[in-house]
This record gives sequence, C-alpha cells and structure tokens, in this order.
Amino acid sequence: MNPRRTKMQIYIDILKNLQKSNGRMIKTHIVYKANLTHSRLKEYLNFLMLKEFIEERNNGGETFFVITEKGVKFLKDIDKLKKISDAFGVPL
Amino acid sequence: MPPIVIPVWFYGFDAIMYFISSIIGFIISFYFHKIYSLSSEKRHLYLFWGFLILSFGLLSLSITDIYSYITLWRCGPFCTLGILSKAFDIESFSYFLYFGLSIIAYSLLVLAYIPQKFKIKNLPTWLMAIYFIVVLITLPLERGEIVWFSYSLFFDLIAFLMLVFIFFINLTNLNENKGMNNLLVTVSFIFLSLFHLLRIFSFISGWMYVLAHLSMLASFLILLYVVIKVKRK
Repeated sequence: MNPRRTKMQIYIDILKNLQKSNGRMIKTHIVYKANLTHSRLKEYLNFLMLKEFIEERNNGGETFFVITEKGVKFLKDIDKLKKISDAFGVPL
Repeated sequence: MPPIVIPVWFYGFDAIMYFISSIIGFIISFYFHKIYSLSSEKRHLYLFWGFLILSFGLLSLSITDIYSYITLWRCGPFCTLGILSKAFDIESFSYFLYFGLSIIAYSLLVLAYIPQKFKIKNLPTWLMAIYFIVVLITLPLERGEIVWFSYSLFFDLIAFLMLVFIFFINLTNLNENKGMNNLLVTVSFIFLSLFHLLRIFSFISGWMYVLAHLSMLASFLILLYVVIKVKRK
C-alpha cells in the first residue's frame, strides 16, 4: 500500500499534471489524475489559486485550469529542495 | 585531562575553518527551513534547528579563537598571565558553549534520522534529554585548571557515537537510493565523525588536531557542493 500523500505532495501532483497536459486541464480530469474527490479537489484548487500558481479560465462555457508562470517556477524550486532533502535521506 | 597540542603555524587556520563551516551550516539550515515551510514535517524542522544550532556553536568558537590568537599575537613576549588568562577564560567559555550547542544540534540530527516506525514515540526524546543533562552536568567537572580547555574526551566521544549513528542511517539510504548526492552526504558525515575521533587523539600530536580540522572543513565543503550541484541544475 502506498503511504498517505501529504498536502504538499497533492499540490505538486496537481501542478505536475497540469504542466504535463500543456498547462491546462478541466476539473474532472484533475480529479482523475490527482486521485481526489471533487469536494477535496476544490479545497486544493482554491489554495493554488490563492497562491497564484494556477488560474481558472472560461472558454465557450467550459471551465478549465491553467498553470501560471509562478506555478512553473514553484515546481522547479520545489524539485531542487526535494533533491536536497532526498540527499539527506529525509524526503520531502 | 591531557592538554591539547596545536601546532603554532596552525594558529588562526582553525578559527577560519570554524567560520567557513558555520557559514555553510547556516546555508544548509536556511534550505531546511524552506523545506520545512513546505512540508511541515518534524524531521525537516529537526534538521533546520540542528544545523542552525551547530552553526552558532562553530561561529562562537571561531570568533573567540580569533580573539585569543590576536591577544596572544599582540602581547608577544610581554604577555602577562592576567592578559592570557582573560583571553583563555573567554575561549574556555566559548568551548563550553560549543560543546553544549553541538550536543543539542547532534541530538536534533539524530531525532531527524530516527526511523519513523519507532514504536515508543517519546523514548528517543527522553533519552536525548537525559543525555544532554548528563553532558551539561559533567562538562564543567571535566574542565581542570590546565590552560587549554578545548579538549573533552567525553564530548568528542559522545559526538562521534551520535554521528556514527547518523552515518549508518545515511548508509542505509544510500543502499536504497544509490544516488550521488546520498553518497556525498554519507561521506560528509564520515568526515564529521572523523573530526571528533581525531580530536580525541589530539593530545598525542599536533597533526591529529590539524587532520581533525581538515576533516571538519571537508565535511562542510561536501555539503556545500551538494547544495551548489542541486541549485545549478
């Protein structure tokens, strides 16, 4: 069984999935990719929007989420911190 | 208690090495603070405080070492015991501070490395607390009236054993991950353990003292290299 993900790991998963999908995804796809319920996802998306890591956009009645430049930079920074943390054998 | 032997030509170099090591320690603690702010994991918090406290200990030692060397150099052959003993009192206090801070710092590092699956949750904390109290009580008793107070078999032995424990945990991680950075951190802890081991024997020869300090510097430089390597990618 996989260990429980921390909040931070869930934020990273959402952002990484958004980045992989050309920077944009609809809510249902994020739910599926990040392995979360709709209600829990809302909480995480709100946090990421508050931090300006993602943006909510509308196109022809379809709502989707895009990763911002700040979000991409955050992913890069966190990757470096993860490598430092992993080097000490105490993973992030 | 045997007096420590420091080669005259090495005066000042040890202080510079303490200073460089403390700056690197501050850099490592800064990154662990950043990591903790993202993860909120106690193990990262322990690493942050561990490196921060260790750095303060090394910094205090470097400042007082420089002060005592300058005092010694300024008064030269006209030194009176009064001037020297004042400088050595300050240095002695600084060593005492460094011993205490290092034990706290290493205890925090040990806590960060204690496997999370450990059943009796509070036992390591209690053991470390008792350990630290014992160190605090016994260190002043160990200091005699000899000029050089910088030697403490008890402190170096305890620090060495703690660092060997951290080294073995890192060795396990290295065995699992087989990464270059894991290897470098493991080697860094070997050098830091060596620093304390060689200090134990520094009453035998001045070279032991020199090699001990080179080991300490190598340990911190390796950690700095890991950080630079990761940041540059």
